[in-house]
Amino acid sequence: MSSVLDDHKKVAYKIKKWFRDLRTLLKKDLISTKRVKKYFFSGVIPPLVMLFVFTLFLQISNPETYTVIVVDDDKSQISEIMVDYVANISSDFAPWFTIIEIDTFDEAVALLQDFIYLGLIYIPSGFEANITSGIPDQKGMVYLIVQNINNDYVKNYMQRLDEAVLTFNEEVHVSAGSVDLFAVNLEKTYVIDQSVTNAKSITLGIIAMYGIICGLVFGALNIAKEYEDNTILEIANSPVRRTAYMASKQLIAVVLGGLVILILSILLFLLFHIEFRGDLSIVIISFVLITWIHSGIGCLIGLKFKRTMPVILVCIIVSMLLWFFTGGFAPLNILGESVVLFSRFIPATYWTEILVAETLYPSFSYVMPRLAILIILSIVITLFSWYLISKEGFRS
Amino acid sequence: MSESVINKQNKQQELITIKNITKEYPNTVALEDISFNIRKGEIFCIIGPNGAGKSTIVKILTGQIKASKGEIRVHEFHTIKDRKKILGMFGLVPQEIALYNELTGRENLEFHGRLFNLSKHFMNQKIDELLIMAGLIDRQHDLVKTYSGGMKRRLQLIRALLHEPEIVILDEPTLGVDVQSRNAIHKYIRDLPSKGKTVVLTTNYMEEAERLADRLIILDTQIIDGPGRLLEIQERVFPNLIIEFKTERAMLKSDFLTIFLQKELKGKVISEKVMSEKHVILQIIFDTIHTEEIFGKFIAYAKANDIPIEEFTLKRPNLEDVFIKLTGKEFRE
Repeated sequence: MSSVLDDHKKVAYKIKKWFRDLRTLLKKDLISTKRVKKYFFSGVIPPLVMLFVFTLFLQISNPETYTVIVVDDDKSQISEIMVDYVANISSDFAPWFTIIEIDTFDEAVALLQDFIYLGLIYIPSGFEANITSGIPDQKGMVYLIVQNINNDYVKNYMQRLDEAVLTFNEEVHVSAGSVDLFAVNLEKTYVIDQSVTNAKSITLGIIAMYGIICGLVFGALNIAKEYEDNTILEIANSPVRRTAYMASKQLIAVVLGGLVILILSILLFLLFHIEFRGDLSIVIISFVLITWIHSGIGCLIGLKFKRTMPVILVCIIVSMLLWFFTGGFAPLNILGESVVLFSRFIPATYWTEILVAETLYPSFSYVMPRLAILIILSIVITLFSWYLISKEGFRS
Repeated sequence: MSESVINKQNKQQELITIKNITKEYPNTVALEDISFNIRKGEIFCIIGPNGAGKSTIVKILTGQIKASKGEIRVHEFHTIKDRKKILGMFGLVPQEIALYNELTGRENLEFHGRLFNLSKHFMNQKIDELLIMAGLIDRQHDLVKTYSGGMKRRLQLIRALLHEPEIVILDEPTLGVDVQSRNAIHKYIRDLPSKGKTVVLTTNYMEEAERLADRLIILDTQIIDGPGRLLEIQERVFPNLIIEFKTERAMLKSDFLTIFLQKELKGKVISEKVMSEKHVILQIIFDTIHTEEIFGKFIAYAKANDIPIEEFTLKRPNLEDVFIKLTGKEFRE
């Protein structure tokens, strides 16, 4: 009996010691980070630069365009305004989409079945009549018909169409003076919260990249700095728990990453008027997971290069690559099925999908499996990086 | 006292047992079949040139790396299998400066204390005591990156003492340190045995070993000599004394040197340092145990022939001489 109690005491002591080690290491790293500006700026500057480069790139480039069929059966004054909104879906930021107007619905469906066009937007007759009927529940309907909803650029298009309908609702309403009378519904997509204006997918890509780069850079820098300053000797020759050491390195990356994302989100709101939507708790959980996963990978980069400057460069390059394969830069279908398949092995793909879904199409059934995959990946990558660093990291 | 009693006492005093240690890397052998013991309360010095394997021994001793063959035991504990049990016994001062530059001196010590699970009260008391001892109390709240090299070395030394280790391992603790700081560090090291500490010191400064070591080994991948007291090794390697004197360079080709000293007295010039255009310092070793007889003849001949001799000394070979004699090569810095 007493030996069982002793065992419990030993376990309790070990757990207590583990958390004490973690607290000590975290405190030290937080103080160090506060005093070394390089840590913080290396996490903030690359996303800002990328924001600039990305914006510039999309403004000057002329990528392949995708055409959507529009059939306006109503042919009214208001439906023509709606068609104009749809036609102007492409922006300076994403000039991928254009439209072609077809007279009849049957003809349009036939063309769609030939896979020539991305989708079909159908405005049925009665569109204007419904809007101007004065009955609150009677709304003008816009139908979007697509063949492959899992296609990246279809998703992208759906997001933009959502925005177009939303903008129509807001702007046309302003001129008429009543929201209820002039509401238009878009079938096949979810109803978007009316408070949101001008949500740009570019921002989602940038935010997705923060998660990657913050984890990688902060994880890698924390480890590399220990080697650069030889302080790993102090750790290696102390009785500190190695798992506590690794956990502290990853936690500090999550904390700093959270801080960076908060600052940059505020900047994005002020500069580009981007507002947050969706379930905040899911976004926070997935951000913590993605930063944690990438901090584990970052720790391995730090272990490999052991110097801060090379580590920063490598992390930025790796971040760009990972970000590219998440489809944050452009729809991956352009590059072929193998690239799409490869992207399924990259954790940030799921993070981006969760982010896009939460912002544009909140869906529990869509988000939860991806969150589960992120949890599994975070466990696998954590165990792998902890094993390697415990094995190699404390040896001279 | 009988020999067996003395052996038994020595055995009881042995704190660290290093047995047949070999460390091989893919293209090189860092250590080859090293065996020796370190006794409680002594300053044990491992000297050797760069690349001799001194730091490798330290790393194996502290369990940072595994030996390819052999084992090290501290008390009865194996350094690899029982690493957790022995970590608290060591206070390591690594060769490199291994301090957190963004923390203050005091914060570095506090961090170390927490890692070693010291109580707050004990830790603060001990830190104050050590900072005073190291002359760093006035700079305790300054960031370490503002410290001089000597101050960092001193901080590193007291950090290793903070958790009251039984064994203090100093891996080239005065590397690149100015003379003033080196003297201060030597003084702390010299005092450690009186505080119950056993010191393992590696160095490639011969004078450091001469000043500090109770016992030493000379290492160059293998043990070249030792373990033993410096005097024992010196006497074993050079059984005779050396005569060193300053004379005119013209004497180098005179009968005094070529006939009297080298042929009649069978002396051998082991060092010839040119001091100026006119003067040279010679060290001559005589292959005989009758040094006093040689000395008498030497003085008599010099007086009788008006040989210009200044700064005359009879000296024992230093550690560097011993090293050169043992290995046949210059001591590499």
